[in-house]
Amino acid sequence: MLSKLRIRPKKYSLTATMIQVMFLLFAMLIVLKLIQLQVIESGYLSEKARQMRQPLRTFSFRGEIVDRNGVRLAADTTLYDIYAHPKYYKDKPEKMAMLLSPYLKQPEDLLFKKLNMLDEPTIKLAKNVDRGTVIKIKKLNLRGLDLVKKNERVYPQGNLASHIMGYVNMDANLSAGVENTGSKDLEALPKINPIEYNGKGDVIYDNNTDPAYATSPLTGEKLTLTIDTAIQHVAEIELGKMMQKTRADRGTVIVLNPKNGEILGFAVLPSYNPSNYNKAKASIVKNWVLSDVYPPGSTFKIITISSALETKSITKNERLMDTGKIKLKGWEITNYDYGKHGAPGLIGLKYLFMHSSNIGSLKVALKIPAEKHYNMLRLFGIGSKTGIDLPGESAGIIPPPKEWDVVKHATIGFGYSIASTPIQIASAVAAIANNGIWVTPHVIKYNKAEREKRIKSHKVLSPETARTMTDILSASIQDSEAQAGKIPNYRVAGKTGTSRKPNPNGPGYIPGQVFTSFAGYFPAKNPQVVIMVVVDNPKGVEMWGSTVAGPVFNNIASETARILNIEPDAPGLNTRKKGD
Amino acid sequence: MVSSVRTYKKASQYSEANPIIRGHFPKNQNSKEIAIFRLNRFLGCVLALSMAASMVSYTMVIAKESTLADIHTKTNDINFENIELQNKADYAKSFYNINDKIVKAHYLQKADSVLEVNGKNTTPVAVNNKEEIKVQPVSGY
Repeated sequence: MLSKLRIRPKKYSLTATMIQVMFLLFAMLIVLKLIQLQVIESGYLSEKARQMRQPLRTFSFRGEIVDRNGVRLAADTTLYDIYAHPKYYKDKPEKMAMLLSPYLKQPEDLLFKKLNMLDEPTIKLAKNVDRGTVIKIKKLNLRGLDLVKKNERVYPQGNLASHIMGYVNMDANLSAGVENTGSKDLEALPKINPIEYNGKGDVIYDNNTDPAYATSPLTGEKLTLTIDTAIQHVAEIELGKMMQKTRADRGTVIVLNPKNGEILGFAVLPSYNPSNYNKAKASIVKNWVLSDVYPPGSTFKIITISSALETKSITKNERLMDTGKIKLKGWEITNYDYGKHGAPGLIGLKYLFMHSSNIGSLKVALKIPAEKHYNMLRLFGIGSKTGIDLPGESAGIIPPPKEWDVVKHATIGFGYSIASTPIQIASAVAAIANNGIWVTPHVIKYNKAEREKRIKSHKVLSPETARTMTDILSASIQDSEAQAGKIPNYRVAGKTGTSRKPNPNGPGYIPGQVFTSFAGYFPAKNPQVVIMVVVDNPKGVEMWGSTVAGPVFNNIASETARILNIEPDAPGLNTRKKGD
Repeated sequence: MVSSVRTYKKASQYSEANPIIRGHFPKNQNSKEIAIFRLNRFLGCVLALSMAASMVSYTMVIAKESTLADIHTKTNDINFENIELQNKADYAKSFYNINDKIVKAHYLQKADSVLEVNGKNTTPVAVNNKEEIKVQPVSGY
């Protein structure tokens, strides 16, 4: 055993000693270096390391916007801006220009001119280059090019719901629509363990690194709208067809759920593509449905009669003497069909709505004490912003009751002497459909906590008054000669309106120009949808609410009932029988 | 006399330079030296193994990081491509696009007017000289 463990006799060897000394010196060098790194320069190096490893996620995507069914309405994509730095060129500008020209779709001589500005530190070569092209440019291995990634907003649905979507210009910090009101959520990035990068910009993977986040851009929160894309599309198509037919200036359709204030469709025409909002006229980009006011005309009679019933100024069986025309303080007011029907005499509320009696409405209005009338209108939201979650809303115009004289009070009865926005009328009518409870209209779907904070509701009418109004309105639609509001299998409660267009440059009205409108809801038995149609300045012979806005309402209502699968409350009603 | 004896003794004394017997006679090793030797040998082996393991591990880590960087780049590319394709797909199936295409193709356009023409009563022509085709029956049909 011991023979295997031979130890050679120790001999002094200069070479061995030298090697040992060298190793010792080397070890001492390492120790000294470690002391330098770990002790002397510790603070500086830690800070440097922190700087190099800190999350460099400066590039992030804005959150998506989707409709109530998850259909994407807005998202981000990646584009690149390309810059050249002459200091770092490896190739000659001629060669670079020749190679880049086909990809950047710029003439070679122009590119050469740009690239040859050798005194410039940075040269802008191209903007908004797509990712595919950039990959090809990267393969050219040209030194001195800087490919700067940026995100761009895209709207896959094109012009659809453009006035709800709005637009966003991140460079100029401009936005409109839900891009504006929802920006806080859209820009809220998820809280994740910070991803660290090495000096070369590569991700340092460790056990806490989530590859899903490391390999895709951080994206803001998804914003879900209450809009139903199918209903929105139908609303835009039907409105567009009528506007084309009547050569109208502009138009809007608001479809909302009266029970919770959710807007299902919000068509505003003419529309624009939010991706190219800067190419559209300011008057088109503006959401005039919220900002501009109009005299609601006969649709306002719904609010007048509701207010009178609620304040007990009239009963549901009220009889009114309709003289066809009346003179108040020198102002002559007539029914629109005075020439045809003259003075119809004693009329009921159903007749008032069927024939849109101005005289009947003003008589009802004058029965309500001015102060009470004013308070009722304020409860309906007239003269106040609805609080819709879109920017640029105006409150409308309603004079205080002390300024009301008999003419003003009377004309308010049929929708003049005040001005409101279409959304105000839609939400006021929705309050009647919702058993007298007014709810804030909105386009963003909120969670329970946010909903309680942002969506207000208050009582306007008693359920009995609301029910009475629905019965009168649906009976007037059904018994009317006009087709407006008559849709198969459903009873509709609603009212047409035709109002003269005020002169924006002074007093009076623009001759021959009108707003035609229809405000209605269905099924009358259990209202689930309110539709408000306004067409501005249709051109033709018979331009009335019943002939312009009414057919638009009918088509949209039928399609909405089909899309939402609403149970019919009157099967067989308004359906054509075989042989008819 | 005394000095000669001393000289003899000195000359006869054992020394490594002048051994009495020549040959390889290993020294007896004590247990301490053996233990130190064993420990050194063990530590040497451990060091060698650690170095080998470190080299292998370093190579593997570098290879892994390279693969990971490659996968990261590819996944990144796929994700960005997917985002672009999703946008294109959404646009392609959007109501706006479909409607636009249908309008441009006049797919659902109705005729502005329908021309009504009188039907012409013509006597059917009887073809008498029609060649008869003789078909040979084939088994299996």
